[in-house]
Amino acid sequence: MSMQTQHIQPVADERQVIRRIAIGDRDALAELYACYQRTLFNYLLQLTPDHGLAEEILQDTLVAVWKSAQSFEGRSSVRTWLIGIARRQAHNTLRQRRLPLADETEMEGLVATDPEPEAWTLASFARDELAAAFRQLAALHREVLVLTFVQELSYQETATILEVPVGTVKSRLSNARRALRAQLDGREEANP
Amino acid sequence: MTYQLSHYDEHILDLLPAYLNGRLDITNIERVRAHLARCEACRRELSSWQAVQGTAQAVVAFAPLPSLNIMNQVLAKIDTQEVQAQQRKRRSISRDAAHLWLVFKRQIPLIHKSIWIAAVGVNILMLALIAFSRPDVRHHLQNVETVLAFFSTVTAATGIAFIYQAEQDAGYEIILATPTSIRIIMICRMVLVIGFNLLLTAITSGIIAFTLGGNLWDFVQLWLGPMLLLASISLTVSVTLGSVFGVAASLIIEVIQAIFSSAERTAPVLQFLRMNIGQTTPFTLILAFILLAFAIYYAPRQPRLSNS
Repeated sequence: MSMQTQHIQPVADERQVIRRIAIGDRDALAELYACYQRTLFNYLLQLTPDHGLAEEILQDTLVAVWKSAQSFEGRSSVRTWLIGIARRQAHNTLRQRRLPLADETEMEGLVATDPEPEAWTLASFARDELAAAFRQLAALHREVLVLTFVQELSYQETATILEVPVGTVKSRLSNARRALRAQLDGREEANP
Repeated sequence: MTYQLSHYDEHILDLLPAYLNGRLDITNIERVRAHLARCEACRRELSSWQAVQGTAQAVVAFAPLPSLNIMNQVLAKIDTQEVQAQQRKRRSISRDAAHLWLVFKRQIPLIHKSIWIAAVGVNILMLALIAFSRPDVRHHLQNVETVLAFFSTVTAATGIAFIYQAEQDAGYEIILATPTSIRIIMICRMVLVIGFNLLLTAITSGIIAFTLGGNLWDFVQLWLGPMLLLASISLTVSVTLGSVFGVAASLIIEVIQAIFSSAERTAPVLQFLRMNIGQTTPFTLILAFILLAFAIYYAPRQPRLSNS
């Protein structure tokens, strides 16, 4: 089996691959990486803007997967488990280097129960404006948006990864959207 | 129906992100759809979330991929860490050995001095008894053997009874305050005291064998098994009841053996005991080993040791 086909084909049974990693199969680790490199790297880039540092954390994540595959019990999906490991590695590294952590200064608001006013809608903004505003968001907010809309995880899975209650995931999502809107307003004031 | 209406009219804002990413259960999907059909404000909310979703996906789609050599670097890291783990393991084994040797050495000054003095004294006494006894008694080898077996065994057993006792032990408080295992300390002390007694008695046996003539092993096998057995009995009784009881038990056993040794011809049970316990046989050695194992296992559990 060549490496190319492994890149294209998804892992047939992810749990089986984890079991193979647990008994020391290095090819299984390479297969898992081929499937999840984009997922993990995209996620890590939300936590740190430093490309090199993100790669380093990605390596540490795979080493941690290699070491802890035996303890994987299948209570969560492989995707959730991997992103959770990546998050812990990122936090350890950022803490060691005294870089800002995603959840340092969070003001968790309540989930809005009433819709925002009509003029507030984000749908009227151009794509590149939105993208630029998204890049300016706090890591905490980018993280929850990527987990929900790119990784398409459930609230429960996101809560597991972030180690917070489900209610916090919901409120963090609505805070992230409000922060995006605030970024756009700030831009409008700067460039009227 | 009224309930249904009000239920469907409640805004469903917190469900919208999950509705968009396809992770909502069927009941909630229907609820969201029914609400959106009648609520303009929530439709606007949905389009806002769609804008957020599109933005997140677009930003990530343009994100760079990691370098191609990540996997090689990961395997190199794994190799390095495995080598380091092996080195750490090897280092910890040699550290444990060094620690054990240190604990062993430190027991020498901590064991009560009278144990050493008594062992030396008894061996000198044995030699003196044999040297100054009447020639006809001395040349009757059975008498010499009795003296040797009796004294050496009792000395070792008495010494062992005192190796682990709070009231006899100067370093007792230090032992309690350190993480060093009580079992390790007991084994070290036992090896020291029994080893010392074995060495002294072997030297004495050698002198006797050399001066009176005879096979060294014939002398050694008379006391080796009994010494180990009695020492183990002594240690077991000493850790369970106290060192005085340990000494008493070993003395009583020796005296009983001495008293009844003349009657053994008429009593088959005593003859069996003398043949099997009074000499070095596999039976004595195994019994001694079992008793030692018990004493070492039991000692750290003994409540009296913690003075509670």
